[in-house]
Amino acid sequence: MTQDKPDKEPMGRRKFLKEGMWGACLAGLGATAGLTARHESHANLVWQIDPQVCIQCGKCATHCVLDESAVKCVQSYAICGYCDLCYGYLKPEPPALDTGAENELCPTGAIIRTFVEDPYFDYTIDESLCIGCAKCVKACAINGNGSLYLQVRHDRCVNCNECSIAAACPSGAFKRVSAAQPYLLKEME
Amino acid sequence: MRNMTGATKSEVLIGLVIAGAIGVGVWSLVLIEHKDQASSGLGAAYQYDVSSLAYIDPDLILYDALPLVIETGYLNARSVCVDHRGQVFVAGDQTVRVFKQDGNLIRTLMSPGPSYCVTVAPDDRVFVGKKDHVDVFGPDYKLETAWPSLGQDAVITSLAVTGTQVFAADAGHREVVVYDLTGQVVTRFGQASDDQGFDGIIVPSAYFDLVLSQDGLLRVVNPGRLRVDAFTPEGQYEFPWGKPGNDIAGFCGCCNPCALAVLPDGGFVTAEKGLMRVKVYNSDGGFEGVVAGPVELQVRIEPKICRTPDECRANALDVAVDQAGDIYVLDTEHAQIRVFSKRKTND
Repeated sequence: MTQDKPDKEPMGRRKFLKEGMWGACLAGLGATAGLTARHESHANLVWQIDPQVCIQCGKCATHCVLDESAVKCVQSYAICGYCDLCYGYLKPEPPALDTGAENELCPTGAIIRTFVEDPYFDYTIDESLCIGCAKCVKACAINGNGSLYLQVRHDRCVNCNECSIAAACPSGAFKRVSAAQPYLLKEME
Repeated sequence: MRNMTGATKSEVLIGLVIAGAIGVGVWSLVLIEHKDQASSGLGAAYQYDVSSLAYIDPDLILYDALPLVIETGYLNARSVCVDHRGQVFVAGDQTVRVFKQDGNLIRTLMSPGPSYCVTVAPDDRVFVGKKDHVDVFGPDYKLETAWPSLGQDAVITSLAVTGTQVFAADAGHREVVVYDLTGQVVTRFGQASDDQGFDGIIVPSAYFDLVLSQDGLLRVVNPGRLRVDAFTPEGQYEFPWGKPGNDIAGFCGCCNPCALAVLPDGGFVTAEKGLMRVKVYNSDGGFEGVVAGPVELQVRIEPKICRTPDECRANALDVAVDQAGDIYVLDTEHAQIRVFSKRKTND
């Protein structure tokens, strides 16, 4: 004849409270450690735009918490074709291929065109005028070599914990990268 | 009677509340959806409208797509040519694949290094541009020889062959290299020359095509100047044709036309990258009509999300023509070939 073991000692109110307290303490310790680790890791990370994923939606210009967006257009000189008919600089049907305001694609006139030698022109960005609207970036991506692209400038970015632009970015181009390498630069293969 | 009226009223009220709740729910969904895709809030001056640039007048389209689409199977398809038998040669990845006109793969030509371009001689020898040198395959499709390298900066993007010479477009050095059939370099040209009144070939990126035309002249794309230049086989500059512009007769974007082929009637087929268009010009370079635009090529011209920088750049076209005048368009992004045939008219 076998005797069944009692399943468990019945949980009394005191025991429940005691074990509950232990559990809560452990959970609290774990949460504190996790939050600390997260804080530490975020302290070494900054926001940046992956140029391969950016679809030039224009939200970088309007969703930054700063009055003037921390996102600016940058130029990859290694990729640029230095074209006379530059689609990032000129309107699609420009009256002339020159620096007249009526020919410029950029609504704020933030791209500077400088003659190098026939038929090459150098294009640089005046960051004080650039609002990060990506109009030139889109034109360059579609018609040109894609040398113009957007980057978060870390001399301006306040590195919000929850970046407003990242929350609005439709393609998921905003990502956290190491502060030791804060830019995702386009380079030639 | 009063009870029934009261019941009806309450049913109506409940119905209205439910209908209102459904309405609010649907509106919220629409609002969320709309908000997700909402524009940046920037004005029209900050928008870049691609659709107006891509529009092509249907009356200008002279060709119809055949139902056949050849899947090359390449990750990086780069160049297409059609030999006198109608076999379709495609250079891509590390090989050259040969397809029958029905799209069935016949054979694969292998040699070390990435394959950038291919051409077939009248005697069936196959010349393959392998970035910095040319590999030669015999009529039996076996590798015969590899010619010496043109240097580590060389990028051979196009080849043309006659009975005595091979012409290679070297995008890296922005010049045309002329070989004899043993692989010895005979001459090079493409640099600016005051004596010839030539302002030089400009190649902003590795899209540099050439073809031998029926008048015996070499037609070389000058992509940085958005035109085509004619040279004698010895390298003497003759004349240009083509003009920059978004209008349908012009060449737009950076490095266009990116590809060129000769029609049986002596005319030319051009392909443009970026705002993708395939067009035909007569033997004098006069615009004749359109083979296909983005709609017919089934390509998007909006910016896309890429996994690699190469993927973002692999949005070009190459073109070839068979003896019947059908035009083979290689879409390098999707590694597919679409075939277009001249539209039959009732005249």
